[in-house]
Amino acid sequence: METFLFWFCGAAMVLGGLMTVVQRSAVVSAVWLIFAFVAAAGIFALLHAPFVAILQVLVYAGAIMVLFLFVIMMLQGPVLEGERRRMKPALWPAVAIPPLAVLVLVGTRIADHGTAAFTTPLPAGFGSPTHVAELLLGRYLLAFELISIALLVAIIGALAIGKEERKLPWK
Amino acid sequence: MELLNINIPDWADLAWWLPEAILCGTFLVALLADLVVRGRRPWLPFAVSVAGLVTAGAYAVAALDPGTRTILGDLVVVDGLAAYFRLLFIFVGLVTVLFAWTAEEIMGRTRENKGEFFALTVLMTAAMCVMAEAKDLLMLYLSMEAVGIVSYVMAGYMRTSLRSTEASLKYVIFGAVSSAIMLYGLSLLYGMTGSMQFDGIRAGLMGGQVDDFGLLVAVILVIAGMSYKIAAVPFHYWAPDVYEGAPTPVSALFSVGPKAAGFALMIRFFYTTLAAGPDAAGSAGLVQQINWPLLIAVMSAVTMTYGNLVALRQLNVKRMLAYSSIAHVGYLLMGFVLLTETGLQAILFYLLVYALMNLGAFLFVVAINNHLRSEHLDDYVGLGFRAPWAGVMMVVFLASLTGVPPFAGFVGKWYLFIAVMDKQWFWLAIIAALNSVVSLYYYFRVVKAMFLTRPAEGANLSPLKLHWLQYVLLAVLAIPTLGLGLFFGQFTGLADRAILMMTTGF
Repeated sequence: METFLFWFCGAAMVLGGLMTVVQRSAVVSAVWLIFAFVAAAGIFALLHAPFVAILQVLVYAGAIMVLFLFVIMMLQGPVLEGERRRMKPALWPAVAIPPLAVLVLVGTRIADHGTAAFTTPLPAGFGSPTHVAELLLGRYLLAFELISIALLVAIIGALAIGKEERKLPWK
Repeated sequence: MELLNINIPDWADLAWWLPEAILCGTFLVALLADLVVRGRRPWLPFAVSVAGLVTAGAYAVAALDPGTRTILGDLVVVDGLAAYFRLLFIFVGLVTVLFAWTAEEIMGRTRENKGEFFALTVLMTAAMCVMAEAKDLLMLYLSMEAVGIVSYVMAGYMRTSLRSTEASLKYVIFGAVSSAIMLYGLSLLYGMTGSMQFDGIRAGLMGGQVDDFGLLVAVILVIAGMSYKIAAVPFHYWAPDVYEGAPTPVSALFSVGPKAAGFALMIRFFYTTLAAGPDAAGSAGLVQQINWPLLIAVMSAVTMTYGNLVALRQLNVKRMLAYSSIAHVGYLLMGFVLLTETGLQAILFYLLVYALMNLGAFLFVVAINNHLRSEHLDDYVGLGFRAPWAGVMMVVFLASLTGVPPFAGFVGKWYLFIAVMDKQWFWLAIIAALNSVVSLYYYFRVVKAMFLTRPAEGANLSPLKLHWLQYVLLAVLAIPTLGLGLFFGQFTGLADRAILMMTTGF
């Protein structure tokens, strides 16, 4: 059952990711992204991290995606226009082979030896909200602060680059 | 109901982390200062940034010999390596800020967001310091992302320039892809060893039970992600476009700062997890099993050859320097092949030399760009007589980048060569030597244009007057580039101690 759920969520996530990238309408892309996020939440749940799974749905699939959609609509949902250009067929193998190779190699290894080679047993109480809180506000406090600074920079950068419209060369 | 059992890190630890704390504080103050003057008086955030960098630098000098301290919840370690690199980063940050002040591309009349530029440079310095100190996968990733986000913004700083915007976009996309690749490798390592701490990973790997093949895949993925930061082939694609498109002071910073930080991170991560250490029993085996030396040696050879061969054909000086910086990553990787102390010491010393000479060459381009608005080689004709002092210093930088004897670049390369020849990797040393010869051609083509080519009839030959600060900074970079080539004992000693402290302080 667990294996089935894993493959199901994994396939859904890959599908969601692919569709996000290939859609020509930004709104449709964003909706597919929600799909991928929910599938990721499923995988977190399978990994004994129920709290992270819930946060994934609440924060990413919920709050952040709503913001995404608002922003897209504010920019009046650009739809890519013009001629559809496809990637040269000669490039397909170059893009597809490296990830597939890693997938097949790791996959066959796991099929031969089981997952033991890639895993270690979980400590008790892993993934509970208490555990997450203890780590986030205790040991990983510095990392937490670093994230906030990185996000602050991202906001400032977005403002600096994207603020009021002046004369831009491509307008 | 059970109570939370929170262990807040000891705040006294911050005493060992003063430079970083000061830099983060400076970032916020500089931003606020810019807000207060509404971006109209850029000298205020500039002054704040310089003051902050100098203060942090003073503390970093004072703490040059910190022993080995694992602080703030075991997330970062302050030791010789960290002390060495944070001094380097603060120096690079300070030079960038000072030079940006004189650069038209940043401070020109029509430019915006001048204050933010200085604040962001300061923050990037802090984040690079954290990269050199991280000893936990989480900090490793977060510090790389922090540096990355600042870089994306700075690359796109000239937002009305199509080239700069393109550079920023390319950087973002390649950055995201490489982060994903690296995270996959890191998660495999975490899965195999159950630890996020570098030494925990080492213990897990030494404990046996680790699948060789899984380790190989994980290591390759992690190397791939990190080679993006240092721009090694085949993860260099972003570098030339980003360096060419970004404002030149930013390119100068990119070509030195994040690159050195990437090396610091790789040194700590791979040395701690894989290299032969005090508990050498299993470790030599690990490096052998994944054939680490060959992997890195091939990468090194390909990187330097590619960088040099493509640089041969560049007529834009900035783009040529971008390819040359790729070639230098190839040389630096030579020190990484055997994961020995000699090699790592050579990397540290070369990074210092490289920072001096490469910053110098880029900053000369900034100074010239202020006047000519061009980086094309044809426009450099006759520059040696229009700006003789700066021209001569540029020759020093270029000769040092080539690795010609009296200059620091030669000594740096010498150490790298010794590191590989020590263990009989002659083919790599020969390829590197041949590459140095190739690089002579394109570096000295610039010298030739500046001093030997006869200017066309009616060309503008009026002398260029550079900003006084530019002369001072070029001299500050050129004198050690010359001096370190003659008196290098002191500084190699510093590099040796830094590595020794890391290796014995496990």
